[in-house]
Amino acid sequence: MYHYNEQDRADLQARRQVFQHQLQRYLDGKISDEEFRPIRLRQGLYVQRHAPMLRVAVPYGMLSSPQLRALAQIALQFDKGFCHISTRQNVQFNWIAMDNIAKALDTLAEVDMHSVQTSGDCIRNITSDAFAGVAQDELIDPRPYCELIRQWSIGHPEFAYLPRKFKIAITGAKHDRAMLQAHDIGLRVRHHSKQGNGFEVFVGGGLGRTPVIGSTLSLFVPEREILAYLTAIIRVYNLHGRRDNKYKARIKILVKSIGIQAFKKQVDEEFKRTQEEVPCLSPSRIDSIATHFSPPPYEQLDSSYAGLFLMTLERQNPSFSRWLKQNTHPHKIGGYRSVTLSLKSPNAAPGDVSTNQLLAIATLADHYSFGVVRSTHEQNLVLADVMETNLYALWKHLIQQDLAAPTIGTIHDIICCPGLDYCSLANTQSLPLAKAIQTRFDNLDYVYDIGDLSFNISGCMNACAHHHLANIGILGVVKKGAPYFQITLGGKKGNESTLGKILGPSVAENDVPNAIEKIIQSYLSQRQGDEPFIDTYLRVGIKPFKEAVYGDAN
Amino acid sequence: MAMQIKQGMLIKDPWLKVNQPVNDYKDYPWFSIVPLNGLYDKSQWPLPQTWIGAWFDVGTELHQITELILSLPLLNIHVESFADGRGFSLAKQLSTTLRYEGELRVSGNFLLDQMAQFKECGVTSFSLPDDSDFDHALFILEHSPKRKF
Repeated sequence: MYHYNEQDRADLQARRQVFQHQLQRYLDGKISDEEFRPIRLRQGLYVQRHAPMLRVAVPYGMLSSPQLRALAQIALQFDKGFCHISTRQNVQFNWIAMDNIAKALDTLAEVDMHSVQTSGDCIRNITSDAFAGVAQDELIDPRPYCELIRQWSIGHPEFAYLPRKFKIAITGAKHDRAMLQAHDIGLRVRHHSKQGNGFEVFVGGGLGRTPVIGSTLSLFVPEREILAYLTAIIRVYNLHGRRDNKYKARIKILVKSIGIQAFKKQVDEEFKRTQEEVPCLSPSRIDSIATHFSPPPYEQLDSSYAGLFLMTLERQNPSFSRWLKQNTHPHKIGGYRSVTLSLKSPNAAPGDVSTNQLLAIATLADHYSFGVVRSTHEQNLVLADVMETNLYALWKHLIQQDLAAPTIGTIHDIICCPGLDYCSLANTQSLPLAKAIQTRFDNLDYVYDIGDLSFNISGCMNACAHHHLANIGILGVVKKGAPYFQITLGGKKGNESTLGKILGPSVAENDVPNAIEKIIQSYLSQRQGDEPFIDTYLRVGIKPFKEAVYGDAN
Repeated sequence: MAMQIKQGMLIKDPWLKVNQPVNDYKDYPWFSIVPLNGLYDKSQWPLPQTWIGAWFDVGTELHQITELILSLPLLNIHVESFADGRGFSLAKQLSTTLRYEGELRVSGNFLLDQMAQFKECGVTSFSLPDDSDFDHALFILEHSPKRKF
């Protein structure tokens, strides 16, 4: 992973010093709430329901074991002994008192971490594929580009006060696990036989109140010109995006209102200018960053031996076998696998991780995965480089830490926003609903029978849990003062991202588990062979599910 | 006389912003910063005064900044709301795309905390009200880190 140099640390120290000065001015009453708001937001500092919420940047989801220990220290000293993995791969603390913010930032800085640009109307933390660099279907490792674009965007003076927040995701794999088309800009790294590496560029995606699947803006931009191209896109947006209505201020609204061709024309015109203004990315600069992402010292392993070893253990231990099938993933290096650590135990809120768990994961990362952990947008953690012969020992440790729920990719693996329990924007509580769904579907055999299924719950229309892209999505709304939940079906992330369709009238909180049960029963009765939920839905449409939930009359 | 920060120093501001254009450009006092639309009458150029600047808001398009306007010694971007970041792009376009070499100034309702960003976008001076926290303004300019790119 990327290691800070002295200049990086000096910059981080300077930013911290400036923010502490700004914070002190605010605490001394020298600036108003209105003036301080954009400053604190650009430092990831929200005013939430109970206390300020501090969002810590985890660049493209990469965390070292010392960084995990620092997060554990903050959780213990300044929070309530846990933190939360967000759907943009960041870490959130929900209970830090304003007086302790500066100390928490000091602790972060000791391990080269910060909270800069994790909020506010600026370019946010860059996100990527949690399996970048190790996935079997990867063509080009996107992380050097993620890091270059992170460096380019941090403190970008021209784009510090955009019409709205701006999110960029990057992948280099065949299968899009970074949700490119749900971002303001999505970049897919490609290789051109004559021009070398470059990017397919998507623009204007986003969820929230107005969900839009991003459109292709360019099929190929050479890597040397990508910063000039990004500058052109964001400049057009900065100059022409709406500022009169924050709900219509995202780039997706601009692209939709003028059309992708007209937008492209404006970008191309600006690109002619920015090509002269923004320095090209030189091969040496890219190579220099790429050295930070060289493969770790993998051992040459006998895959067939590891296979036999695992097969024997699977026969002896069905629980291990279930976990192995569900929570581990193929690796590009023979004899290794990637392991997802489930943060979806029924004993905790989805995405929450405790101090003790953080410390244990840091130790496990050191022992089993070259000291590195990744956060996923599904709100789990990943040890990317585990020897297959170590999987059984690792599983035993994970069980002790309640991190081995063998349910990755199932209805139990719920993506869920913090909802009304923490968030001041939310309409409804999402965490109790997640718990209710997990309780309803608590039979593992049944869960496995249902198979692959994405299930996301957003507590309000800001859609932080990306419910629009879930096979089954839940959105919290308020009807006559009471919490209700709208169900969407058929959403899909990946290469052919699709927005879910609303099933029908929203249902009362207590009725949601029954409604979901009916949807699942309808699916099980209609599926053909091993057909997953989404394929059955695409084949039969929404009508049978509507009838199952609301009856024939609807 | 109001204050300005120029080249990192706090100094008295000799310039005066004029809000209404006049018909006869000879009537503009020296060191006036006049509205952009008060300088479009080409027949009155060259201006009789050497020290005249133009001000315009952050929504001004590049094509409105003509060659004659670019020949002025001072251009002033006026900010109505600090939340409106178009001024940063406009400053960048003036300083790089149009290669404006005179004094590029910002005035109005901007945050002192935004000064370093304006400076990086090519702004060279800031018009500040008398009751500004000048120490903080200078702190921001001195201590904000510069980007790698």
